[in-house]
Amino acid sequence: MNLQERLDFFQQLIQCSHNLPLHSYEPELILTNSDIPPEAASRDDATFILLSLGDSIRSHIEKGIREPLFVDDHLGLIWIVVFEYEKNLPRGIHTLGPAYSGRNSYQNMKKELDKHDLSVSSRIKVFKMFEHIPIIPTSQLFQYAVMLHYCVTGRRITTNDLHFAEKSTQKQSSSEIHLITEEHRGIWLAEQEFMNMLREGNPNYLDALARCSSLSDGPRFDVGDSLRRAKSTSIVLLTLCSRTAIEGGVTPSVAYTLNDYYMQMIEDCKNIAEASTACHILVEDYVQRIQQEKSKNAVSGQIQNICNYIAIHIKEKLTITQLAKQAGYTEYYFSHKFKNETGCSVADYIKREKIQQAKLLLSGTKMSIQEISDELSFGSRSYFSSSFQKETGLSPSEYREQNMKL
Amino acid sequence: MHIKPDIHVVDFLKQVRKCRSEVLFETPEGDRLALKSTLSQYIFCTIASNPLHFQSGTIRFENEEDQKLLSDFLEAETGHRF
Repeated sequence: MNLQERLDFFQQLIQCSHNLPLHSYEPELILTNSDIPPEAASRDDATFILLSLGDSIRSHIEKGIREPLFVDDHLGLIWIVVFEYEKNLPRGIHTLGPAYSGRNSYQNMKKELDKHDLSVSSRIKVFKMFEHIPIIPTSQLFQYAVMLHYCVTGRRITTNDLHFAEKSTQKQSSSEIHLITEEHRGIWLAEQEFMNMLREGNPNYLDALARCSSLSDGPRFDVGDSLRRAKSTSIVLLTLCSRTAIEGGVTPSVAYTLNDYYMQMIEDCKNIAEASTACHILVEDYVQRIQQEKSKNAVSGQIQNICNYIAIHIKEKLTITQLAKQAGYTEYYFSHKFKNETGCSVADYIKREKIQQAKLLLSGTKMSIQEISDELSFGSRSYFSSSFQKETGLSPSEYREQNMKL
Repeated sequence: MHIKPDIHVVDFLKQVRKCRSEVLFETPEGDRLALKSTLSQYIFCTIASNPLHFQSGTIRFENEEDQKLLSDFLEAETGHRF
């Protein structure tokens, strides 16, 4: 399929769920599908886009950023912008939107429109235009941005790669819609994985964070204001990060001071995009501080890298030969260096990490003990059970009985 | 003062944003839009999709100096103050 066919197909897929317009522009912001009749609603959408997004799009291109841009205006309207490049030159701009970020964005818009005291004919026209805009949770729009980027560029990215339009001078007020199910399945596990990586100062924490974001868009409460909700969700993340940072070696006074600093930053955000950016900044800051603390300890960068490697590949069968090769040392030297710096042998370290992961799977999933043993490459169920019992003092089933979180 | 036919609406509204004081658009039906507000601009775009409504409307300036900024988009006649 060529690009146009892919875009058409993408639009059809989106239209199965939402009436969310997809427009394509030349880099100079001239509408590509200019055969739209002047009276069509999509022509109005295109005009909105030029009015609301023009400056953000130009600034994004000038900065040379190729990942999608997320823009929300103070009226609660959201757009996703994806950039098409040919070699180093922008070739096209594709916009998805507008959408409302929450259930009462439209109601707020209606209230604002009422203030204008419009004539009947204008009122019908204007309300018709704003009524056709769909309400979509921001987390879902993030996923659409990732998919549209793949559709246009063929490159896979995650929601962490999205950019948010900077600067907002006016207040936004809207609320999130609850489209998630009543279950929390998998969220706790994903959250634990994220915090484990954070605690270790593992730079790959973004993957774990993306998994958390894909399962949940935050705590379920509705105060009728999506910005308030985004801020509260950001504060939950901040709290998790600050406490995990202490476990990762950052002093409590530093972690708490940072917590206060970032809480103020979150409270000062004027739209959801700013709150998302604040989250990325704060997590990265905590990770870097944890890494600094780790580097102050006796563990060298090479051994820390191997610990990170073990954390990422914990489900695989890991051998000393393979890890020594990864570190660039002989097996003998690597084993000694590892034990000197961490205080335990490579085999014990791997086993301990696997047991930690097994604890998560036992308490956070319904996987059978055999499946967990296989998942973590223990070799056999009996070896897994005896190793687990030795490390924790409990059999896997006893542990599950006492710690089940589902 | 009336808007010229066939202007580029987005360029016109961008120019309005540069004005120092408020610029009003009034329709024969009695609609009154303060064009520096984003929502009013959206409403204006919707109204502007019908050329009849668009050209029959009147532009008024709070500050006559702003008229110069929009002169390329307006029919040549005396502007109104409010």
